[in-house]
Amino acid sequence: MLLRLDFSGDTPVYQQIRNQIVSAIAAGQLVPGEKLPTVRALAEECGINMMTASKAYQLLKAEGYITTGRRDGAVVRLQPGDVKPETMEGLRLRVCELRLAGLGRDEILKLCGDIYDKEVEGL
Amino acid sequence: MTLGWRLFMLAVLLPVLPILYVMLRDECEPKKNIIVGVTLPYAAQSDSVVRGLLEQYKREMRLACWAMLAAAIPNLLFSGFGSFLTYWLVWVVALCVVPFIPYIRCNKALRQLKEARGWKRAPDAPQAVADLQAAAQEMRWLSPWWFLPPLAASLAPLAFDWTMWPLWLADALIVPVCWLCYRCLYRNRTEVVDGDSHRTMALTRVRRYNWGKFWLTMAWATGFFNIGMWLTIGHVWLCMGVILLYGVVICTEAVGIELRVRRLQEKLTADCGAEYVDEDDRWIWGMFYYNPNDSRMMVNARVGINATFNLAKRPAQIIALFLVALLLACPLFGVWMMGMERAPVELAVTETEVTGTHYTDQWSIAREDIAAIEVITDLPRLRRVAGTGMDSALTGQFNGDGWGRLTLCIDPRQGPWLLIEKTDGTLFLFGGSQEGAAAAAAERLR
Repeated sequence: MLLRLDFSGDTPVYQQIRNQIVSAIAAGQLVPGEKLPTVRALAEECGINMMTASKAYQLLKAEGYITTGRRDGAVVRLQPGDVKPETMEGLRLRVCELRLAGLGRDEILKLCGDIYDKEVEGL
Repeated sequence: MTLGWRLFMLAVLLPVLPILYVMLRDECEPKKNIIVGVTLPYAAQSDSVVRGLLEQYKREMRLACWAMLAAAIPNLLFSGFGSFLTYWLVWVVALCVVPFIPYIRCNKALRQLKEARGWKRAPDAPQAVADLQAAAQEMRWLSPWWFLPPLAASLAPLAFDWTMWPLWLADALIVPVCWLCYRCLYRNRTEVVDGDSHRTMALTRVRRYNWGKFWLTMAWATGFFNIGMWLTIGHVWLCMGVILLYGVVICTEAVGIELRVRRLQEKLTADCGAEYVDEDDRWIWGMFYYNPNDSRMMVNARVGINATFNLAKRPAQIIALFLVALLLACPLFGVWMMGMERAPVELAVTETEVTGTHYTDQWSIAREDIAAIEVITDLPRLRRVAGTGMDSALTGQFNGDGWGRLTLCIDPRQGPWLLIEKTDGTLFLFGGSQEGAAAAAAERLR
């Protein structure tokens, strides 16, 4: 799985790492139980600060996407947790924004379906 | 300096030129999609304009190397060590620039062509690309135990010949330095070429394996070198042979490993698809890494096994500037040696002390500390421990056959010499460049 970090964008680097790992897990590019690089290796690999890499892992761990242990390092979690309230809130806001942009129910559902096919099914 | 010595030095230094030629010529073969420091798509690698630029690059580089070879020959005419060394050091500085001019010219031309043909794949925004699966593959470091036998071997001469301990210890230090370089200089970044993690892992393993192999070979070669030096220290030409052999082994191994890694990189990335990593924007002239978004001070070289500096980082800039200044100042060392070579050795006796002087070095002995003096007409066979050994001056610490450790400040061409034994038993051998200096000094001391 290729991680591409954009240093000129507004999204913080740790957030980009978090987002891309979540997308890769959803798409099956990273499978549950798969080992991720250590914080040091990830920092070395991307040329970023160790604190930034650590922050990304802490976020992923807090959200239940990975587990970290002293022996195994970071591992993709077997069963991610339930949908969090903030995810639902984010989805609700996005749907509202799409509605205000002039899209109808069917168009919004089709858009969601297309995104699902692209990100998860890889179509 | 005899013609034999000059030819020997020529034989030692000149192979650098063909090695450099082979390395630079090898840049024409695509490795990780990179040709002469420019990332090109697979189809573009056989483009007729690209091939034409590469042919021109080869021609210009051949010319540059022939020019450097021709420039090396006149050095045989210099008989003085200082002038010979100065010429060589100027030649080495030129060697670090001249053959790279065709490389830079070709790199610029290929970049322009790449822009014009729309082959550029790098996004306009600065990006970092990493392969997470390959990065998770941990580096297996060689055990330090592998470095212990060569360390023991290189320290062995100390047990048998304590008189030359600074030399043996300095040589033995190379082994732990090899281990430190192995552990500290390796940049643990995977060799990402495209989205194929298996390819990235294979390329990374190739680099890791050969990195360890090089430093371990260097450590073992040093161990054997020290033993060889100890066995041949009394025979100048045999000793020089051991040094030469050591140099040949190290150079052959370094060049061999570099070429082997390049060949594997070439093979493993020969069928890269449409999606590949393009980092050209971070490499000035295809050889100097400059990326302000990269926190690392050192990064892997683009092809082969080496590492290089990230010139966007302040410490790297300082180190690079220091290295460039050091390189440019090298010929000054030759000039300094010329001054040393021409400076006379002086021997002076005052009411209170005896002083031997040569260039910037001076040794003084208080007259009350002198236990005995003797004027000698034949020098013993001398082995230098630390100091200067020139046709016109021998100064510093030496071992004399049957005499043990001596401090010398003499002109070996102008005897006799004054042997002074101090009350603490230490021996000094003084002599001046002027005829009869030692005899006159002995007379005054008596």
